[in-house]
Amino acid sequence: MFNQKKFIVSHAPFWHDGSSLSTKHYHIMLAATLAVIPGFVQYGGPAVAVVCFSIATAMIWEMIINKIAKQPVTIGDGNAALIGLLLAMMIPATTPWWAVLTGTFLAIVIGKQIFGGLGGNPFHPVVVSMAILSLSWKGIFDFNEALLPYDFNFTMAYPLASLKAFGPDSISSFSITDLLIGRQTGGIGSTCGIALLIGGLYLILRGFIRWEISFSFLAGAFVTAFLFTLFGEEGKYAGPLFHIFTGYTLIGAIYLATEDSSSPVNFIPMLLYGAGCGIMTILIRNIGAYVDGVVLAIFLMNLANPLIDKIRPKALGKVA
Amino acid sequence: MTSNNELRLAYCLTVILLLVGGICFAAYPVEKPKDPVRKMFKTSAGNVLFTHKVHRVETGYGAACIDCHHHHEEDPENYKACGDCHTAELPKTVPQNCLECHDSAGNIEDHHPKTIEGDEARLCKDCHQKTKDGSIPEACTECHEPDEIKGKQKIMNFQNRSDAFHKQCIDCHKEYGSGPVECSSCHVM
Repeated sequence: MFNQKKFIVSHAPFWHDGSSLSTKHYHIMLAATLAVIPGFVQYGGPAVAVVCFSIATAMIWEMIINKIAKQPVTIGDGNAALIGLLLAMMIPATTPWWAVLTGTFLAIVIGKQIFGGLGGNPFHPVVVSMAILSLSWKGIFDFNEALLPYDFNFTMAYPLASLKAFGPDSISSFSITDLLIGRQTGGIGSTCGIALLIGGLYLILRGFIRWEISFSFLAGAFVTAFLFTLFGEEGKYAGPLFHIFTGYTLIGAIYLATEDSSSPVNFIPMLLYGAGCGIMTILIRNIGAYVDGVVLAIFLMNLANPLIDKIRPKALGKVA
Repeated sequence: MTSNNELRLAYCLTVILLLVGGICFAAYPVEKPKDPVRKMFKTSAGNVLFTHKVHRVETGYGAACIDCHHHHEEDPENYKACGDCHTAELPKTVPQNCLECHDSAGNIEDHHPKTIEGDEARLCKDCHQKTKDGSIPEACTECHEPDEIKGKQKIMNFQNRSDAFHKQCIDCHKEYGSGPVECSSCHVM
């Protein structure tokens, strides 16, 4: 007689280990805030306005949809706040209030609630929002144009735009150290590489995000960019570290690609998904039309996610 | 922490952040500096990011305002932006408000009596335009013989917006042997 024990449950009472969705989301927000601080220091009041307004309006949109759908209010889980924070991190400090309001609407309503809320969204809500925003109002979300009034003691041209338009010679003024410590233009919370990496490391060590996705994302981007410099036309492509520390690469690898609902759950699929994001990012940057390929790359890999997750899944309940 | 406590915290967070965000938007509007740092020239051939401050300051290229902003010799403190005359809305045309500068500087009424008013009034751009084949515009030959104005080709080559900008930048870059002169070195294509 087959007598294999598959699942053992003791009788009540049970002890909750304290983990919850809100704990996870607030920890991710805490880690992300580390990367927002340099943005506050650089851009001051306007950056504070965008971040605070983005978080608040994201929560308000979620509350409104909850009320309309006659569902319990879910802003307590912190996911709406996290979405608002991540969106604010990716946009310029000069973004007007109505664009922030529209962005959070797109993320919460179109990107998340329309699919049934947390866990049901096939795409990262912030990626959906950023894709629509940057296609709709190019000037507002073009860092070169948006940050015209600011003057810092570093090259103020958006590195990826310079690379795309004028080639690697135009980015010689950007050292890797500068890029790592945030001496570059970009979104409020997406320029300081070291802060993003520390936040990501914290989340990986605490188990809030999967290292497989972040690691394979960065590895995919690094290897692809390296292959371009190795086999591509000489002097046409930027080095791998430049690609890692510019644009949305780090914020994408740590905070966007790792979202639970839109990423795989199995080991091999996670590696493939992350690597796909990284490879696509560099392909779009080097031979595609867009300046930064991260948003589109994650969008496409989100689309492929259900299929990728079917690659050799481990059967539920299978032992050894 | 119970779910109700989480919800209460979220409500408080929403109200506080909304207030802080609203106040900061009102208190810290993003304003264009009086002395521009950079300018973005939007063109159909790709935008150009112009480092205005770098060109102006002594530690940069040290260009004088009058090197680029012409037409205001009499009032050197009141330079107009290039786009004030060479408007972005009408990039293919000559400036629309020529008389603001030329009325006081020259004898425009004497020389161009038909430009001022009346049904047959001519606009500046009717004559001061660049024809595709380089010929003299038809509006000029209504009053002048072609031979009469042939030597004044400089006037005929009055610049439209792109000509003005290109001439301004490229001539200077060539003169100093520094700076881009090729299209793809300035325009983000």
